Amino acid sequence: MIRCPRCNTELPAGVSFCDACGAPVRGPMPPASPVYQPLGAGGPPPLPPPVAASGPSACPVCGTPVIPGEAFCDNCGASLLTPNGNSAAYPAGPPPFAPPAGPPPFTPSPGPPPFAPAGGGSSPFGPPPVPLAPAPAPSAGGTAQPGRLIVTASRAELPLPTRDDVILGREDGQSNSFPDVDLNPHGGLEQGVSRRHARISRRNGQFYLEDLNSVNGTLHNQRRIPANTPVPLRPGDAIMLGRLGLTFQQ
Amino acid sequence: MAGDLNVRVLLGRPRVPVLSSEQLVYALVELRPTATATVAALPLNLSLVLDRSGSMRGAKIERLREAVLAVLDGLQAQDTLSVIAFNNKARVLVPSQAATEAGKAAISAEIRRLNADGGTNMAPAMEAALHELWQRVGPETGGAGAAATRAMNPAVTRMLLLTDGITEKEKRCLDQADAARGMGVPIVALGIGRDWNDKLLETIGERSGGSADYVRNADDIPRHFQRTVQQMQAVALTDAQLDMRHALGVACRTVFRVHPLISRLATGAAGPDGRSLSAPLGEIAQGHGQTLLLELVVPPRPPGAYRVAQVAVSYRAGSAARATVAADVLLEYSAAPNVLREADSTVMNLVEKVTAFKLQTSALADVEAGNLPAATGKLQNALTRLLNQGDVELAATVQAELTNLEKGRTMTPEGRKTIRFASGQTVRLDKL
Repeated sequence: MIRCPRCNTELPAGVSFCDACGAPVRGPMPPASPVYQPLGAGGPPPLPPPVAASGPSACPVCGTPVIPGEAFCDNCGASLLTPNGNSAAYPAGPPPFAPPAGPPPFTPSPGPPPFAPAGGGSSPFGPPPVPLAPAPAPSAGGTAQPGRLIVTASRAELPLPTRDDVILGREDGQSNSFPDVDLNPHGGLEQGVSRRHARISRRNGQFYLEDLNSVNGTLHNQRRIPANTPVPLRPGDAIMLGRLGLTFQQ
Repeated sequence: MAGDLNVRVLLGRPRVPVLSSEQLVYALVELRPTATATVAALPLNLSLVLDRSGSMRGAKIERLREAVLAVLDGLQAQDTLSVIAFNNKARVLVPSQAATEAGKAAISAEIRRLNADGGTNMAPAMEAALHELWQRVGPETGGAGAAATRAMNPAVTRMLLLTDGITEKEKRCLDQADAARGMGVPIVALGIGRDWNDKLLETIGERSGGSADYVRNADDIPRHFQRTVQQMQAVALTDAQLDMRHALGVACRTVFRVHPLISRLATGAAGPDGRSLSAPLGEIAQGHGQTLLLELVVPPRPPGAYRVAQVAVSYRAGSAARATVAADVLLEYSAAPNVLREADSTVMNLVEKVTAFKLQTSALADVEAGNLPAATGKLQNALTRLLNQGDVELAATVQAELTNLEKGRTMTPEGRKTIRFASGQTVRLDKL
């Protein structure tokens, strides 16, 4: 028999977590709150003083009581997480399942980021991400390195043909669709990849990503890109075609 | 085997502030069959229930014939097919039989003769389909009860139904949907055109553990039929179930499925001590599997890491014994500043999609109940959520119907059908 280090409930030996309060029984001890007193008997720990409010306790639009942490009012659907009721705080779409190369945008940095814009606006989710370094100039006289795509879910590597325009999509003989990179074998259909979904083009050694008016959209580093608008593509960039995640590498 | 399923938990906020009140956290649970689970394709047992009333004459019945022939083409000798055609009466065109080469030849001859005329009475056709589906299932299992039958017969079973009109005796169709659930037969109910009862088909889908969808025009029929067969062929694990157990003081407010379609699976704490909750999950397909969204209400705690809930998913792989995979939902309470700024955008974007779905579903119910002010308010808010999510097409439909309601007109049948069925789709699969 052992006791939970947090709430003192008796527990059978060998469990990883306390069945009552959920504290880990083995592993690193989390720091104790200064006001916390271990209880003599089992039971949940006493309430600590509040440190931060976490959003409104009533919906600013319809007044229905809400629980801190709710993202949208259950009654009227208004966003609860920014002061003016917008959810512009969230980026346009879901990121791929592997963390993108580079600093994740939502972790507060320990100090000012080296490239933070002077007096820059702050998004509700923390300091703006460090701007990416400019793309390296193409090597003089040589051919630029070929690109490849890595499927996030399976880590499969898809080499990109060396032509200047590569179409990503799904092959469909019936409608005469033969994209350069066929995503059918990687779950393209069920993840909403259009037959002609996006294009990766290359000009002067610089790669670009362009959405070809696809049904479910294209994300570049978690931001939805407008159709028919090429954006510069760099190694390590995260691409999402519908819900299929890819990473671009060279 | 336990190696067949990966269960991954992703929190909307991995760290939450230390408060003196309870708070809400979102957790995504991703269920993905592993590569080993997807080796042998399960045999299919499919029954088609086809409306051949007079209104199906012309392009609809022609595309329907093509669709059935294409389905036939995609089946294998281990699969079983039956076809029931109905107008005022139901007729078994093709009794349950194996899709061998000989079988296929006979079946396609019968399908080519399919023509359209008469009224619409769907329930007897649904009953006949269940009878035909049982022909494959029953004899192999000696007439055991439905759950035991499913355990012994690992075929993927479906009734695929297509109608273009209002049927007589709707209540009897719902009874058949309940019977289908008892037999373990999900019904995929498709409605084509504007004149069918979308609420009825949606209810048939829900009650049978299947789904419903809106086929916009005749040319779309073959694609919908193909997709149903492909989805059946992609099933890796069957009879899945979610069992959750929470720490003291934690409650689960709702469980939604968000992939492949959005639907509410369970509401509120259940179980004798209020600390456990179960929900049937049905089939888990290869590749993307299923994704669930949990809303957990967690109590105040001092700083530190806690397991707030345990999630267990049990399932069957083929005819092997039931297996279970578990995962912990771990949450850290932190007194650090800026904890609130950390949010996982994958999770929060799905929360927004589910919010849009809830608002649209609730708005349609308000319209049916005649509560137009509530409906328009919710559609307005759904519109904001859809635009935020970049779902411009559905947003345009919602805007158009909102305008209709605001001007004192009724919703168009097409608009209502689009909202009812597209709102639950996290990924648009048509026009891909």
